Formats: sequence, structure tokens, C-alpha cells
Amino acid sequence: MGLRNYLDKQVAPHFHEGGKFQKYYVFYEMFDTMLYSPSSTTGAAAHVRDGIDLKRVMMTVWFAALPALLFGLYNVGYQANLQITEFGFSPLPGWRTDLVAALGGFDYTSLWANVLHGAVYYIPIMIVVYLGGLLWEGLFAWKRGHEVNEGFFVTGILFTLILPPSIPLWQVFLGISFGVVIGKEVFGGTGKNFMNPALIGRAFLFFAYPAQISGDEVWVAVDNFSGATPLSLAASGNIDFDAGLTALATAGQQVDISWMHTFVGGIQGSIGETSTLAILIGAGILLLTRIASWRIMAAVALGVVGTSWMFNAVGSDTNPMFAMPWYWHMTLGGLAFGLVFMATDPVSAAMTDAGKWVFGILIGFMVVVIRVINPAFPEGMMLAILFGNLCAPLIDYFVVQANIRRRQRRTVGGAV
Amino acid sequence: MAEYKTKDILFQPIFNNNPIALQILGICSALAVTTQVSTALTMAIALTTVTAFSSLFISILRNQIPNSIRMIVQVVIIASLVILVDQFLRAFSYELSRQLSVFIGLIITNCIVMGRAEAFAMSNPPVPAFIDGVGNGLGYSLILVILGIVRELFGSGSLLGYQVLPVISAGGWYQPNGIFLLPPSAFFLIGLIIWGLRAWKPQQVEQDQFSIAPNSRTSDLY
Amino acid sequence: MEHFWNRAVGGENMTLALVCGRLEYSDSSDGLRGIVTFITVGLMSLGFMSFSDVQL
Repeated sequence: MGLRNYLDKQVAPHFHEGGKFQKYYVFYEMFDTMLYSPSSTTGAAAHVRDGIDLKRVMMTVWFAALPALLFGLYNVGYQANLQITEFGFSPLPGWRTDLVAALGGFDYTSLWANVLHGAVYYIPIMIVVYLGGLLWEGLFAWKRGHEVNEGFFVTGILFTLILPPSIPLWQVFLGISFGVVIGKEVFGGTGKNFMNPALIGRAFLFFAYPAQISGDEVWVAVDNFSGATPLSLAASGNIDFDAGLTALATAGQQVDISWMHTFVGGIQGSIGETSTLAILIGAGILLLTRIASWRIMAAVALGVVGTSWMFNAVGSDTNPMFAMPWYWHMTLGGLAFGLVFMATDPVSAAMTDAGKWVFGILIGFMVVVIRVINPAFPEGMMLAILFGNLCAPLIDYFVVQANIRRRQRRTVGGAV
Repeated sequence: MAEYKTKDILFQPIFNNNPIALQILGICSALAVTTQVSTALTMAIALTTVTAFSSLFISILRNQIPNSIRMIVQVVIIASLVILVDQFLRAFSYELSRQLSVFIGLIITNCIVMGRAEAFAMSNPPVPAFIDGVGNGLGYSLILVILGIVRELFGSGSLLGYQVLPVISAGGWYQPNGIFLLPPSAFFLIGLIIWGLRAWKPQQVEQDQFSIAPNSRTSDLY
Repeated sequence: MEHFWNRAVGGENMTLALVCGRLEYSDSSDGLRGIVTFITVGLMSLGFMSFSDVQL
């Protein structure tokens, strides 16, 4: 307890009432609660005795995202190294490549080289996201006199995982700034927003700089590379769903894309979204600890299955996406990641139990609809969840109204 | 009727009682025409002209207009002025008029014009009414031009069509930010402008409808 | 079709009203009170972007 004593006796007085740094109390509080869980408890009535608090919830989500993060780290390096060693692309010039060349080389069969190559792209993104986010969070907390919340740790890590690896760092900063300020802080901070801040940050980048976050060129961090994600390959009819194997006919597509491959990972895409398996491990953690709502997860899956069946049945001669079965929808693109980590965000999802089902099915429906019939947005998950967030209050309203009506019928109806 | 100072009538609407920022009127055109400075500027001039002269004519006629049909008379006056402005633009600046499309015509429905006619011109002499119209037009213009400058500068790196920030596609360094060319950005920008204005002039801040109890450790409770 | 769009716009207004209802519990800074609606509408229009360019 040496540190605790030191903080209480030596450091804390400066930040409390009358101390030298009283104005900067929030920053002290932030580091203090990062080190120790706060001992302050409610004084008045209405207690819930529970080991869980905001900080623990957020840390659990963080750990649940870790498998996807680690796999993403490996996959970013693997994709780049594969293209470099096998197909003769040259790495992006810059300090990252120099570092990788000095320490690990570009061998795609070596775990170390892949992780290293991924890390030189991922770690700077993560640093920028956390510094940028802390800057805005701290600024608002300081000016508004509330505390810096742990919610940001989750927003930050989720935001890094839905970006392409080669995104410029200044765009990362703009995106997280927009997400945190416009998406969350203007409404008053954690728990007061109505849309997912990480997705708002990504939507901002998506509409502001489409060239760096969508298309064919951004998913592998090598020079002059152009290779579509499996999802856009599917949209252009280059994946044979029945055989389960790809028609590797298109030149420049040298990655094997069987369904199993898209499930385990090792395909091109945003950093954290490629491996459905790693995401499922995270889902397991979230469900076991009951932090994420199983209703929402099940409902999104249900919506996806139902809607893709509908499209399969309708069929189309010109649009190959109509024929995409639901299990391909699940593993391609950001659907699995969004399903597990974004749709279940308890703040922006529907609050009522029945509402959660409707909310999830709506998202599942929207994502397939956007993917299939909206060629402007090959990846539908981001917009589908944002749309779901918008509708969540509406859904809750109808659920509550229906409940009121049912109870009225029970009481008033009996008397009349 | 209270006597107004000319200076107040002219300058109050610019910062203290801005039609867009405080009265939240005329938002529709502020979203639609501000992707470029040139269209924003044209729209601003057109609206200022219409507001000023409609206030002037309505004020001249105010004692002749029967109260029961005053709205129709006002609309007729405003509509004639709008058609004049529209025809003028078509004659002398066809390209701009094409870009502004229906929005010049829609000045008729702009709440600022009707609002000034009802609130001020109907009960004041012609000269103050004219100045009031100019002042409100300028208040609208200010926000419109700020929006136009920000959106054109960040959205396409240019001002009034001149390339200020050299864009990457033309060999420069600036990456145009596409979101500034989409309507949502105008909502965010107007929100941020009003936020800044209210931080500067706290008397414009609205009263809270609901206030929540303090729950932070830094609040007075602890 | 006209009818459909009327309904759609009506639904949108209702969504906005209910989102604002949820924002009763928000805690914006003083200068932003009321103006949060602008930001809300902006975010909503981002959410509705998913309907642009739909091809059937």
C-alpha cells in the first residue's frame, strides 16, 4: 500500500480543495481510479450490492476484444508479408518498413515477422486513438467538472479495430475526435449518447475520406496494392458459394477464400474484423459474464438469416449478392464484429427486452439489405447499426406503450 | 410603439438576435446552398434584398392593409420581390441561378421574411422597417457566409472557386474532406457556431427544461 | 409513392422526437442546450445515409 499512501498523503492534497492544482482535479482522479478502484459508495438509500461497476464492465469488454485484436495484429502483418514475399509487391516506404526489415524481415511463414509487421501499423493507430480520445475526454471532463470515464477505453479499442491498417494517422485522430466530441461529449459523456461513438467516428471517416477507408487499395499495407475484400469479390460475383471455394480467376487475387478461411481469418479487411473465430471467443466472454445482451446477438443473427433466406428465394440474374447464403454473410466483412461488440453497446441499443429483439432483427435485416441492394455501400454493418441506434428509442416507446395498453386491458377491461 | 435606435435595429440581429443562431429560422436554405461561397453569397444578397424591400413596402402599406387579409397581401409583396430577384439572376448570372435552383424561389417561404414583416414592418414606419430588414438579412448572411467559407474551404480546398489549399489530386498536399459537401456537416457546423456564439454571449443560453441532480464527486455535495 | 414519403417523413419526425426524449437525460454544456438537436439531426442524417443510392 506504499503507493496508496503516497498518493493520499503526498499527491492528493494538491488536487483537492485549496491545493495548488485544484483546477486539474479530474486528471488526478483519472489516474488514481486507474490504479485503484474508488472506495466511495452511495450514502443514501437504494443500494445494489454487486461486484460489477462501470470500470469492470469496460475492462471485460476490452479483454473480450483482445482475441480479435491479437489476430488482427498477426493478420495485418501476414497479409502484407504474403504480398511482399510471394508476389513481389514492395512495402510502403517509411520508418515502419525500415524497422520491420531490421528486426524481422518479411517472411510470411514466421509468426514473429507477421506480428511485428502488424504491430508497426497497429500500435501507432492505437496510440493516436488513445491520446486523441484522452485529450478530448480530459478537456471536457476538466471544463465540465465531471470525471474521465472508462467507457473511452472500449470506444478507443473498438475504433482501432474497425479501421483499415494503412489509414493515415491524422485521419485516425480526426475520426476519434469526431466520435468522442460529436458522438458522445456534447450529450454529456458516457451513458448519455444515443449512437455508438466508435461507429460515428468511422462513419465520419467513411464519408469524409472514402478513398482511405473503402475501396480495393487500403486493406493491405503494401505499395500500389489493389485487392478487393472478399465481400466486394462476392458482390462482383467472384465467389462460388456452393463450392465453398473461390473462383480465383481474377488476377491479383492470390488469397484462398474458402468459407473456412473467412471464418478463421487470414482474409483482407479492417484490422479486427477478419477472424470470426476470434470474435466468437470474445462473444463467449461477453455472454458468460452477461455483459452483452444475448437477446441482441441472437436477434441480429436471426435477422441476417431470415433476410438472406428471403433474398436467396427471390434470386436475381444480375446481382450475385442475392444468392449469398447467411453463413457467408456472417463471416464476411464487419458483420460478426458489429454483432458482438457494436450492436450490443448497452447505451445505444434498445433498453427493453422485447425491444432488444426488434432492435437486433432490424439491424440484421438492414445489414443484408444494404449489402445486397445498395451498391454504394458494400459493407452494411456500420450504417445498419447506426440506423438501429436511431430507431432504438422508437422501438422502446412502442414496447412501453404496448405494455401499458396490456395492463390497462387487464385492469380496466375486467371492470367493464 | 417603443422607439428604436437605428444602430440597434441594424446591428442587434447580427449577433444578439441572429435569425439563424437564436431564432433558428431559415435553416433549410442554410443547409442547401452553402457548399460553395459563391452560392451562399448570392443567396445571402438575395434574401437581404427581399427582406429589406418587403419590409419597406409592407410598412408603407401597413395602414391600408385590412387586418383580416394581411397575410395574403404580405405574401403577394414578398412573392413579387422574389420573382424579381429570380428573374434578375437568370438574366445576369444564369449559371448561379441554375445552381441555386429552387432555393431562390423558396425565399417566399423563408420564415425570416414573413417573420420580419409580421413582427416589425406591420407596426413601424418605413425607414426603421427597411433597416430592420437589412439587419436581419445581414444576420442571416453572416451565418451563411461562414458556413459557405468553412464548407468550401475544407470540402474542396477552394474559396469562391480559387484553389486555396492545393488538393492531392492536383499535386498538392490537401486531402479534401468529403463530409463537408454533404448536408449533415451543415447541421454540425450550425450547432458548433451557435455553441460558440452562446459561449461568447451567455444570455442567449436556453433555460433547462429538466435538470438532473449533481452526481459527480467534484460537485458541491461532496 | 407520395403517401409513402409522407409516412416516411412522419416516422422520421417521430424518431427525432423520441431520440430527443432520450436526450432529456443528457447533460450537455450550457451553450449547447437546445442546440444538441442540431447535432442529433446531423447524426440522424448520417444514419439515414444507408438509404441513398438503393438500387432494386
